[in-house]
Amino acid sequence: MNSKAVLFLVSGLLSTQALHAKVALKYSSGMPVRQAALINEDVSRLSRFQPYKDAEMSTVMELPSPITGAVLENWLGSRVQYVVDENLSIEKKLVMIKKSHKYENPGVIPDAFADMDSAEADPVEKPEKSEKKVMVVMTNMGTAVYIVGKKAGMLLGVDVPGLGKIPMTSPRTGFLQVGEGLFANRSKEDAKLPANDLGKSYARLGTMFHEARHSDGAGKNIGFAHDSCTEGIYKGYKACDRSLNGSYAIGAYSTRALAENCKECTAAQKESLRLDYLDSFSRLVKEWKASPDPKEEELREACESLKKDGIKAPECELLDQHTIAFKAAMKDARPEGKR
Amino acid sequence: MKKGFLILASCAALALVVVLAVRGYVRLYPESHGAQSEESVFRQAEEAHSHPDEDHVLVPPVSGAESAMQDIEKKLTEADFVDLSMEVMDSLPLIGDFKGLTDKDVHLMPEILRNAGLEMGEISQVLHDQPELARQGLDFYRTCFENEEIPEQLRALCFANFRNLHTHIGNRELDWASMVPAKVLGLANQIPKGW
Repeated sequence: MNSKAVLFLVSGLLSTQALHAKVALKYSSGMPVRQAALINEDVSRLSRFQPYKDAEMSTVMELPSPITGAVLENWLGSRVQYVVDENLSIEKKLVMIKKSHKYENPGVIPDAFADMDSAEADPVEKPEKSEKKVMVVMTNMGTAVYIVGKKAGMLLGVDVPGLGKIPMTSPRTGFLQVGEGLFANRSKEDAKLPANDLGKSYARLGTMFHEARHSDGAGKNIGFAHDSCTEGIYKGYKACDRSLNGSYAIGAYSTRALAENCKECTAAQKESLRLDYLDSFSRLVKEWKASPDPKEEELREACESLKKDGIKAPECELLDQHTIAFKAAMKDARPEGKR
Repeated sequence: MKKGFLILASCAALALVVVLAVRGYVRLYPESHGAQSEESVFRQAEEAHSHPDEDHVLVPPVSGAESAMQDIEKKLTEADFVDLSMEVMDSLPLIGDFKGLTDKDVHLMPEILRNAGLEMGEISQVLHDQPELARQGLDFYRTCFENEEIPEQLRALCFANFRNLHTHIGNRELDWASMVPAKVLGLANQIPKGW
C-alpha cells in the first residue's frame, strides 16, 4: 500500500515534469556539433520568452493567452523530436518496420501525393535523380516518409546513425533534416554577425516553427502541404498556403512574437525579422478563384502562360466563366497516429 | 493522521526522485539510446572548443547587440546617411530578380530578400540611434514604398516604417490607405505601431 502510494506520487511528479517538458531534441551522429549547439541555443531562448498577447496567434496556433515561453516550448516539442544532418540520404536509409500497418483515415492522403505514380511512391524502387544541388535549410522529412508509408500500406521508418530505426507512426514523429543553409552567411553584412546573433537565432526558430506545422493534419491535409501562389513574386510557385493556419501563418506569427516581444533586440535585428515575417504573411492566399473541376485547373495554368505571352484563346475566356470564388479558412490541425 | 501520512509520503517521493536523479538512475527528460542529448552536444562543443578544427569552430560569445553597437559607434552626417540610403536603395531586389528561382529556393525566404532585410536593418539602426536624421529617413522610406518594381513585402516594410516614423516625430496623420495598394497596406498593418 505504502509503496503503491509512493509510486503514484512519483509518477505524478514525473508527469507534471512532462507537462512542462522542454524541447528535448535528439540528433543524428552525423550532425555537425556546431549546428546542434546552435539549434539547442536557439530553442533554449524560448524559456526566456516573456508573456505575450496576440489573439490571432492564439487562435491560429491553438494557444492560451497570454502566450508564455513554456507554451511555445510545449507546442514545438510536441511536433519536433529528431534532427538529422543533410548528408543523411533518407531514401537510402528508409526501412520497412511493418509489412502492413493500420492507418487512420485509410487510403486518404494529400492530393499532391495521390497523383504520384507508383514507382515514385514505392519505397523499394528508388531511382537516383540528378538534381541541381540546392543548399538544404530545413525540411520535415518525417511527414514525407509517413505519407509514402501510408500510400504503400506499410509502416516505414528511417535508420539513423546514432538514433537507430525511427518508425514514422505519425507526422508528429517530428523528424527534421537540416543543412548548412540554415546557418550560412548570405552576404558580407551577414558574415559580420556571429552565428548565434539574436536576429539569426530567431529567424532559425521561426523556420523551425514553420516546419513544425508540417507535423500536423490528417487525411487530405496531412502535413499542411503548400499551395500555389496567385500573385506577387512567388506567383505560380507552390510557396503559399490557402489556409489561415498553415506553415506560413505559423512562421509569420511566431517570428512576429519573437521579434516584437524581444527587449534585447537591436533595431537592426528587429527590422530584419520584420521582413522575415512580412514575407511569410505575404504567402497567405486569403481569396482566390478556381474551377471546381481539377482538370479545368490544369487548363487554367496553361491559359495563364498563354496570357503572359499575349496570346488570347477562346477556351481560356470560357474558362473564366466557370470559376468560383474561394476564401481561406482554418484547417483541422489534429494529427494522425501517435508518436 | 491521513493528511500527515500524505505529506510524509510526498516528501519521501520527492527525496527518492532527487536521490535517483543525482545517482543517474532517473532522467527527468527522455533521451534515446545512442542519440546525442543536449548535454552531450554541449560537452562535445566544449571539447571542440579546446581542439578547434575547421568543422568544429565554435561561435565566439559575442551578442548580436554588441556586434551591432560596434558598427554604429560612428555618427553619420546627413550626407553620409544620404550616401548610405542610396547604396541600400540600389541594393534592394526588384520583382524581376525573383524570376528563374526553383521551388526549393522560394520555400523559405530567398537569399536576396534576406539580404535586403539586413540592409534595411542598417538604415533602421541609424535612424534609431540618430533621430536627427528622421527627415532623410522619411525620404528613403517614401522612395522605397512608392517604387512599384520593389516586391510588396519590402514596400510594406518601408511603408510601415514611414508611417511609424512620420507619426513619431509629431507629424499629422495622413490618408494612409490612399498611399499604397491594398495588399501592401494589409502587410504593413501586420507591423505594430510605434517607432
